[in-house]
Order: sequence, then structure tokens, then C-alpha cells
Amino acid sequence: MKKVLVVTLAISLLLGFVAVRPLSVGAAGFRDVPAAHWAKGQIDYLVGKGVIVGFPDGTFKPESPVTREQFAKMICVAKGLGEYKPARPTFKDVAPSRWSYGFVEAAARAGYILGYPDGTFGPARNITREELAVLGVRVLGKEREANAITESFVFANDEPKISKWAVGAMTIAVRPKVQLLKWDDARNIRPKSAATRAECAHSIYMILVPPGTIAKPGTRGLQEVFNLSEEGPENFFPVTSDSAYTQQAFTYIAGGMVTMVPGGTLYPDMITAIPTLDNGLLKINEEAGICETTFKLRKGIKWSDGKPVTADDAIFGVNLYLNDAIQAVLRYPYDSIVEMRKVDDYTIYVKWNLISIDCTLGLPIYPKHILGPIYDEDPALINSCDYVTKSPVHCGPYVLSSFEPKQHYIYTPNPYWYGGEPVIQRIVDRVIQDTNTQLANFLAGGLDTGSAILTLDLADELIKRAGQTFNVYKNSGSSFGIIPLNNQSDWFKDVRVRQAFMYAMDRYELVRRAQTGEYPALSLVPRGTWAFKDVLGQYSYSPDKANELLDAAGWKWNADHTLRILPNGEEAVLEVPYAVGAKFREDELTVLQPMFKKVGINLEHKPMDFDALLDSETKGTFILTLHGISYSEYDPVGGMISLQSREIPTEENGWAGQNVERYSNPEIDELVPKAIAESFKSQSERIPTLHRIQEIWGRDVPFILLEQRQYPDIIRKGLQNWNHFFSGTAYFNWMCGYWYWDTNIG
Amino acid sequence: MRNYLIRRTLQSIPIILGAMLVSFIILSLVSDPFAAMMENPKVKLADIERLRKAWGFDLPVYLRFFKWFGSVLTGNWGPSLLYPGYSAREIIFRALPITLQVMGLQFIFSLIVSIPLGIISAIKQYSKTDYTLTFFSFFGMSMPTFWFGLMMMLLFSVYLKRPSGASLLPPGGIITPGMESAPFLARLGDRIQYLILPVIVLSLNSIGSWVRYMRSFMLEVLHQDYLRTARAKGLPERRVIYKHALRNALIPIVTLIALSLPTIVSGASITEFVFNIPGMGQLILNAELKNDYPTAMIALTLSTVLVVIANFVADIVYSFIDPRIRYA
Amino acid sequence: MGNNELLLDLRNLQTYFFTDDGVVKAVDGMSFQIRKGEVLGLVGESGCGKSVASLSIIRLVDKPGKVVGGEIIFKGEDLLKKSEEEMRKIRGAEIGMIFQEPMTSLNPVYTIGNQIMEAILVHQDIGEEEAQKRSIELLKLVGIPEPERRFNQYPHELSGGMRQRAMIAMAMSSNPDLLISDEATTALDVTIQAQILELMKDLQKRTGMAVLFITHDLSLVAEMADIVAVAYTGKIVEYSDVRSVFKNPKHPYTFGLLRSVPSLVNEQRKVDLPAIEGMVPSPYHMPNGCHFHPRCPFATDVCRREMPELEEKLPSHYARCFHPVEVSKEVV
Repeated sequence: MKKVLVVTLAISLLLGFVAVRPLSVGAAGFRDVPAAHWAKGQIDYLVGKGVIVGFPDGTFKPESPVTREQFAKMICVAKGLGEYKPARPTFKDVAPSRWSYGFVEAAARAGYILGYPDGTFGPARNITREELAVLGVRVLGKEREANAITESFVFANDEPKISKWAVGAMTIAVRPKVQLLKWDDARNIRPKSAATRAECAHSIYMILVPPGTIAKPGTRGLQEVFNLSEEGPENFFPVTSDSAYTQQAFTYIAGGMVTMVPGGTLYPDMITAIPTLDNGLLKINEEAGICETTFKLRKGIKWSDGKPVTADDAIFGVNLYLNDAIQAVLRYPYDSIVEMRKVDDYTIYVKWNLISIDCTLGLPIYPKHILGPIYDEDPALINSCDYVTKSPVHCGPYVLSSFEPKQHYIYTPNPYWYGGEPVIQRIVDRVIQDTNTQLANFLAGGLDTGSAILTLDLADELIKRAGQTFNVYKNSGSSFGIIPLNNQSDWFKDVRVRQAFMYAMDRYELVRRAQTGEYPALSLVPRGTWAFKDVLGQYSYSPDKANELLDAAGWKWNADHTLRILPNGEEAVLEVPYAVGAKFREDELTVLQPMFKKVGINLEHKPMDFDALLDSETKGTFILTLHGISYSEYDPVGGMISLQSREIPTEENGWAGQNVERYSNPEIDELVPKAIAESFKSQSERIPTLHRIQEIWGRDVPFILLEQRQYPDIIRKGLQNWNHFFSGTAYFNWMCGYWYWDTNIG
Repeated sequence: MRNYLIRRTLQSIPIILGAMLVSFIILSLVSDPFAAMMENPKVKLADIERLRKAWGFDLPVYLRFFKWFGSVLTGNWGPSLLYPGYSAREIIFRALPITLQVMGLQFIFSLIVSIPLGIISAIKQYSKTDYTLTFFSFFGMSMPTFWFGLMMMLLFSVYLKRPSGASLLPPGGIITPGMESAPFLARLGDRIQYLILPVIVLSLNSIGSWVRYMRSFMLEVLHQDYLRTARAKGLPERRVIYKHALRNALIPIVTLIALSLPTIVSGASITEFVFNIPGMGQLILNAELKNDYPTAMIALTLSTVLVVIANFVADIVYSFIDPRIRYA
Repeated sequence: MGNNELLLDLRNLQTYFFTDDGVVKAVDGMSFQIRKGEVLGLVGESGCGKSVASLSIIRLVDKPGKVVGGEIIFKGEDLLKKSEEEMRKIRGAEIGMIFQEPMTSLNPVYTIGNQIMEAILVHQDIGEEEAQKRSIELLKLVGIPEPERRFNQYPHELSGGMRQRAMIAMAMSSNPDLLISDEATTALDVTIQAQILELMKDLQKRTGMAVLFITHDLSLVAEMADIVAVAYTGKIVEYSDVRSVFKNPKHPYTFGLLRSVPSLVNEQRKVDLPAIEGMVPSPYHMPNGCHFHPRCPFATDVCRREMPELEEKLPSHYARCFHPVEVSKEVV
């Protein structure tokens, strides 16, 4: 008997250990919170502190909604408030017998919850995100501040949906030092959606460990970021400098009317809403080729010297672009402005003789009170004034505090930023050109981040040596290697031949050996953007299929089965032109040569002058060429315009037009204008047409896309909100105002 | 002598002018600075034409030359095309002091080291010391700066650390962020740590070749009869070498130094690239690669003028130190 | 031969050059003596070792040469046993030397005044002013006009003859006991040559210094020397006073040399100058036995086998030959 007791005791003790131990995170974590989950760090932290628990089945159910009473409990536990059970209930619908009574009352006593005007609390209702914001802001003690806010500064596409009473709280909730709520990929804040468990966990974490609490690792209390750039800005005035580095520097210090999120989504930044047909701020007159847009600036935005931003500044900005004395590099689309009118201090009406999504992206905005006097004296002086060369003033999150040309640029927070107070007190943008020196600097410890920096092999070296300190992401770019095929030539007039070329290439091998990236292009829309559809994956490497198609197209083999002969009797020997000195392309061709030999086609190198190459494309004298091309992320239609027949350059139209392949497909000719017309609809409405175009293109292969460029991003572990997707129009620092250090969540 | 000076000065003028004209013509034959812009699909032809006109590129070459030359004489050295808003003069005078510091230090350091080493090498010809020095000379001359510079950086910046945890010597650059507005002495102290590695790397190459030169000049002198006479007079060997031999060996060395002076200004592009120094070497390279016409022209002109002056100075100095040379 | 005190006694001097191609015995057992106030003419073709012998005396033989044997007794002391420091005190002060090429023998970047002063100051403990005065005096002594002006001139501003005079001034600046003149007039043209020779004779008589007069030109020897030593392939082959050598040359080589001198006196002798057949043998391939035998019309077997010793053939007249020449009349 004693033995049984002892054994039972032992077993129960053992079980007790297992049972009593809270369902905290082991190495595996929750089954439904994978390593890449956006809130994993926060959830793990809170579970570790016992603030929230998972379910017995090992799940966390991050997407489930949270009721108001559940949240009340969460907040009490988080803030260390014990249950409080007064005799008389505060709320009509939360009786003392309710399980949550103690928590609700404690929260109420702490002043965290007020309940509805009718005296109820609505304990079983799901807490909405805007309610979450209000509560969170209250817990943080910023309610008074919130109540003083009348205009929402939430920078979301669904901003109008925010309830009036939540406007202040939501504004504060997205501020850099608060960051209770995040936007989704479509840049919506979803005020009325039910807050999920993950979102609540995130919010509570942000209440407990607000951004700015944790300093940069390895320092004592410093909030700074050392970023690496390959080059410095040409000047601080994007009007006269189209350099990406100028734009990048400008992104630290400037605000814009409309900003782009990685993936191509746009959101209203300095204006209250992007003009759309739905909200009436956009009107289109197709016959006249006119569109009209109205931009409403948010009220209360100030320049970094404290002066207010008004409509005058926007009109002035446009004039800077259009004035001949100022050496603006690119006037598009402002050169299509027919009429521009100030409706009131914050509203501008613009009429364009162009119908394009580019008309809705806002106007350039520059401080008239600083540049105006110079402009009035002589606009040409603007080109070399101090504003342009040393001391720019704008309304973005940071100001340029000092710099050593081509060495480093130091940015400190703009005290007047309309987005709030940035956490990082000092961003130092260091300029180093030599990639080996860049790596040495990362390893020596003087750098934290770098975007599209190093080469892929050096990035791998960094991972090898310092993989515990840095995260290295390989972002896909929107540049591709392209082989335009002359669809009117004997070589490529048969679609089967073009498809055969696709099958004949082992494109994974190609990108691997020519070192340009990890994967080949899968569509003419960059992978990772919202309109992307995989239409080239079907062409898996198959010399057999290629041979089949070539046979079907009438390409016979010669006597000793080494080379094919075209139907017109020509031998399948082809010179592939590419720009002299383009090592990339040379390497690619070298890799392709043996692949094509297998299907009886001889390719030869023909490096030539790039201008002559482009000219041969325009005039149609080429058979194929090899070079690079870039597409836009937010405007997938841009790359499709060249698919139309009317874009074929001919002598009649003065050789204008981008359809150098001379591709002609009636269905495409119908669909592309349709896609353009749909430009102003929501993403989900536009997708069917865009997908269909990609499908047809993938089937017809008028030109071949090789690799999608990859660019390493290096970020020191612990830096949050570095949200970057390589782009030609958005820069890695688009979210710099929201950066902060947090080593808890990795 | 006075006539000679006047004559040489007058001769210099057409040389400089000719060099400027030739540089201008060659630069204008190379593809124009607006080619790169055409690749951007949003930039229209009209935009480029407009800019072309604004920068004065619509005139034919010779007119452009005179226009440019005229403006240079009046002090307007043209805008920088690479850095819109800045003038070519600003860009150059930003890079010039940095290059002067690096190259100047390197020059002095090389001189101080290589002259004694060359003398020793010559005196002890064929000895172990001589062979060792010869080996290091060739090593220094053949060592590619980009590799050696990188290796030095790895050693002194990545592996070796100060007690505070920072690199022993900074991996490139010329200034610590934040020091732009510090007082002069503080900036000087800050600057020195950045100059150590590039100066060593650059010196290696020049020390290598100058030791060889010094050795060869010295050897030539060491076999001269007048040294035998000096010894026959009973002079101590030290005096024979350092008074009689060296003085003669210095004549070609001084000429060499004078002719090397222009390099102090033209910088060393590869080392500047590796060590991230925004000096003249980088500037000239970028200006020429990216068709920044005005800056490239000014830099080339500066180089030309300096070479002409250096030659002039070399000849004058030569006449002072070699009594056999006298100019009429 | 003379009656004065023995100043320099060269005994069996051997100076070899150790080259990569072999050992060159430049001076292979040379012996001669110079007495105070005497002029010894050391004659021979180029390569016979006379210059090397002179450099050996003041120990300025350059690598790869080395004195390997013999004694150089100067004023009773063996110079070969002295330290470098001691030699330094002797060079320029007790033994002066002048060289063949006055242009290259003077440092082109210093004035001659500087160079002469230097010679004075290194040996004499006087001030610069005094040294300068003495230098100018020396220049006057050697017959340079306008010595004050010349003092500040550079070697290239002086003619060949004047440079050589300056060299002489330099060499004599500390009143040496012995002056070594190594082909000092060879590079000058004939008239200047004569002047310099006159100067040297004059100075020699005035100061009573001894001179080792090295030359390849027999006629100069006749003028200058008291004693003659003929050198061939590193050895002395004939050694006697000047009259005896010229009147009765014993060694076939000396005989050949004398016959080959053009004579202005006897017009009838304007015939082909008889040259000595053959060439000086290569130092790497010295013939066995007597080094002269390949060119000697009197050579016999013994000459080919054995090296003759320097023996007295006539009173105080030594020759190194098995078959000395018998001459009946003067061949001058």
C-alpha cells in the first residue's frame, strides 16, 4: 500500500510539474504563432510575464476577437492591478457575480474604462480597434491630449471611417512613441474591426514597453541609427536632382501629399484623402481627356521652422517645377496642369489635360515663406541657394542637422512634425562607396542598417561572420533582365518558337550562376506587389518541350543534328547584342549558350554601343537584344502599356512608342485600355483585368524576362519598423519617423 | 636668369591654353551628360532639350570653349552637373584640402623614410640589408592598393579594438559624425586617426619607388672619381658620403620631387575609394565618368597648370642646386 | 740608388681582385723604393697594375680588390698594419695624390676654394679665415691667375689645366712628404701637359717632396723621373735610374717601348713605328712562365716554363728576364 501511495505521489508530483507549469513559450512556441508572425515577439514577451496565456491545446488563436471584459482583465494583469470587488457595481451590465467583475471594477477605478453614456459597459461585445485605441491612450495618460485633437492624423485610406470620439485617440495611437495600432497592407487602420488577440497583445506590449524605452543594443541609452548609403545626395532639392540619393535624403526631412507603401499601395500623408471617384475628389472627363483633382491638406501641419503649411506652398511647389529658369529635371506630370486654383488655405483644385493615376498623387510642396523671396528676386537663384545646397527646410519627421559632404549626414527629430515625435534622436547616414569597405564597417560595428547595399556575395559573408547581430533580407527589386524579341522577324513571329525559348532556359540555373538573384521573373509585374500573378512558372526547364515546339514550328535539324535550320532556310545562329561593358549580361549569355546549343540554336556575343542597340529596337532592325528594364510598383499598368499595337514605333508616328517587340494581340489591345480606365478603382476591382493581361502575356511571351533583381537589406537586430521593399519610387526610410529599438522582440 | 624666367613664363601660357583646349575638345567628344537621363521613361525629350539649353550645350564646341574660357577668367568656374546647385569651384575646393592633407602627409612621410633607406641601400650594395630593402621596395611598388588597403582596414578596424570596444583605427572616412562644428584642435585630433591608414598604404608605393630611385642616384655618385679624391684628402668616410656624395645625388632627387608635386593635388582614386575619402581623385574620376563637364575641365586645367608650374619650379630649383646649370 | 733617407719601401706588394670570373692579380709582387726628394717614374701600359699599386699605398683600393700580401713601409712604418683612422691622418697630410681626370676628380657642386679649404681644415687646426688665406696662397703657388676670383668658382668654370693645378694645390695643401701623381697629365693637351710638368718639377724642387710619378708615356718619365720602374702584368720588369734605363734597356719590353716612341729629333726616323707584337694578356689567362714570353722575340723554352726573378743585370740596374737585351747605342 505504501508503495502504491509513493508511486501515486510521485506520479502526481510529476504531473503536477507538468500541469502547474503555465503554458509559457517553450522553444517551439504556440502552434499557430509561427516564427514570422508579426506579433510573435510581443506575444512571447507577454506570455512570459504571465499577462496573457495560450489555450490548453497549445494554440494562441491570434486572430480571434477579444471581448471588452477580456481586455479589461488583460489590462489589469498587465498593469499589475489586483481585482477590485466593491459592493456596488459601476456598470449596469457587469454584475458582481460576473467572472470579470473584479477586473472591470479595478480598471474602472484606475480610470481606464468609462463605459457607454448609458451606464453600460458591453462586456461581451468585441472590442473594436478604435475602442482599443481610446482605452490604450487613457491608460497611457494621454486622454486629455487626445480630446484636444479635432483633426485625425492617422494617414490611412479608411480614415473617414473613424468615429468622431476616437479621432484623437487614433491619432495618438499611431504616433511614433505610442504605436498601439498598425496599418494593414492596404494601409487601412480598420477602426471598426474587432481587435484580435494578437493585436491586443501588441497594444498591451506597447503600453508596457513604449517605443523609446529600450536603447540601441550595445549603447547606454542612445537612440540612434547609423545607416549606410552608397552615395550621398547630389543636393537637397529633388526638383533639380533626380538622383535616388537626393530623394532618399529628402525622405528623411520631407512630407508628401501621398506616400507609397511597399507593395505599391498608396495612402494620404499630408492630405486628408487620395482623390478617388468615390470620394468625389476626382472627376474624369474621358472625351475631353481632362481630369480634375482636389487636394485637401490636413490642418495644422508646420514647416520645421514652425511656420504653417498652406495651399500656397503647394502652388508654389508646382511653379518651381514649371519655371524655365529652374533646372527641373522632370516636370511630369505637372506639365499637364491646365488650371490650378487655391480654394482656401488648405484646399487646392487642379485641372489636368491628362488622365492618369499620377494626377492623384498630389503636388510638390515647398516653403514659400523661405523660397518665395528668392524666387521673386530671380528664379534662377533658386538653383544654387542655401536651401538647395545646405539647409533645406521641410515638414517631415527629421531635419538635417549637420553634414560632411559625401561622408555623413546627420538627422535629428523635427519638433514640429505632424506625425508626432520620432523616437530615434539621431540618424546618421554614412556614405561609403566601396562594397568591401562597407562590409568592413559593418563588421567593425559602426553601422546598423543599409538598404540595397553590398553585393549578394558580401551579404552572405556578413551573415557568416555576424549573423547573430544582423538580419539580412534579400528584397526583390522591380528591375529585370529582359530579352526583347522582334515578333515580326522570321525568328520570332511564331509563338511556339518564343515559348520554346522559355522552355529551353533553365532560369533558376541562370540566376544562380550569373549571380543576379535567387529566382527568375515570374511575371512582368514585380513579384511581391499587389497585382502580381505567376504566369511564367509554367515554363519549367525542359529541353524536350523546347525541341517539340521548335519541331512543330518547322525548325528542322541540319545533317549532323548540331544546328537547326529555320523554315526560311536560315541557320539558327544568332548574335545577341548587349551594352559594351555590361558584365551582368555577358555572364548571362555565357550561361545561356550551352542551354540553347542543346536545342540546336547557337547564340553569339555581340557587345555594342548601347545607344545603337536601343536605336535598333526602335527602328525594328533587331532580332533580339539583352539588357535591363525597370517597372513601377504602384502602377502595374505602366509596364503593360507597351503591349498595345498602337505603341509600335513606326516612321509614321515618328518612332515614338515602347512596343519595340511589335507584338500585336487584339485581346490585349482591348484589355490594356480597360486596365488604364480602371486605374482609379480599388485594388480588388482592378485585379481581374490585370491578372488576365498577365496570363495572355505569359502565354504569348512577346519578350522574355530573366531575373528579378535582388538587393540585400541589412538591419541590426532589434530595430523595428524597418519596412522595406526595394523600389524605384519609395525609399527604405519612408517609415523613419517610426523607427525604434526593441531587443525583446528581435 | 631674369630673362629666362620671363621666357619660361611666357612659354607656359600657350602650353596651358593648348592643354585646356585639347581637354575641352576631348571631353566634348565623349557622350554627353544627358544620355543617362534618357533611360528614365518619364523624362521627355523636351525636358532634356530644356536642360541642354540651360547648361549651354546648344552651342557648337568652339563657341562653347570660348564661352567657358571667358567665364573661367572672370572667376565663374561653372556649375557642377553632378551636384545641381553647387558650383564646380565649391566642389573642387571641398575636395582639395582633403587631398592635400592625405597626399601631403604621404609625400613628406615617404621622403623622410625613403631618402635615408635609399642611401643605406646604395652604400651597402649587395649586402643583406640592400637585398631586404630591395625586396620591400618591389613589394611596395607591386602591392595593389585596393587589396592592401582593405587588408589594413580589416586588421586595424575589424580585428584590433580599443579598450572602449571601438575600432583601433576607423575603417575609412575622414571625420567622425558630429565633429563638423567642433573647434579646430578637436577636429585636427579627430582627423589624424583617419589619415593614418591611407597615408601608410599610399606611402608604401611611393617609398618603394623612391628608395629605388635614391639608391640608383646614390650608386651613380658613389662610383664617381671625386669621392676618391675626397678620401685621398683624408676626409672621414661620413663626410665623403654625406657632404660629397649626397649633395650630388640630391640633384636628381630634388628634380624628381618637384615633378611629383602635382600628384599631391590629383590624389589617388583607388585608395580614396577604398578608404572612403572624398578627395580629388574620386572627384575627377566621377566627374569624368559621369560627364560632369565643368568640374572635369577645371580639375584637368588645375592639373595641367600644376604640372607646368612644377616643371618650371623643378628647372629653377635645379639651377640653384647644380652650379653647372646657369640660365641665360 | 739615391743617397737620401728611404721614404717609401714597397716590398712584394700583392693586390688581387676577387671577381665573379676569377681572381685578377693586378699587383703581383711589386717592389720599389722612393727616397726623400726623389721622383720615381712608374711606367707601363694600361692594366699593368700601376694605378692599383698607387691606390694600395694609401689603401683606397675598392672592392672586390684587396691587398693580400707584401709590406708598404712608409717612414719606417708598415701602412698595411695601420687602422683606418691612422690612414686618414696620413692621406692628404703626408701622402698627397692627384688623379687623371681633373674634371671628374673635383666635386662639381662645391667651389674649388671650398674643396681646398676642406683639405686644409681636415688636417690643420686653424680657423676658416686662415684656411681661406692659405688656399688662395696655394692657388697662387700653383700658378693660377686671379686666385681670389678663382677661389669662388666651380670646377666647370676652369679649364682642364687650371683644374689640374687646383688639384695639385689641394694635394699639396698640407705639405705632404710624398706626392703620388697618377697619370695626372694624360687627359691634358700637350702644351698644358708641359706646363703642369714644369709646375710639378718646380714644386718638387722647392718643397723637397718625393713624387711617385705614374704614367704610360716614357717621354714624360725622361723629363720628370730620377728612378724608373717599368711595370708589366703586375710586376716590375725593369728598375734603375732614368739614364741607365733609357741608355741600356735590359728587358725586351722596355726595349720595345723605347723603340716605339716617335722621335722628333731625327727626321729620318719618320717611318712606321715598330710596335710590340701581340697584346697584354688577359688577367684571367696569364701565360705560364714569364708573362711577356708570347710577345718576346727572344723567348725560349725556359721563358715559357719559369718566371724570372728581378735581378741585377748592370750595377743598380735590375731586370726580370732570362735573356736581357744588349744594346750598343742609344735608342732615344
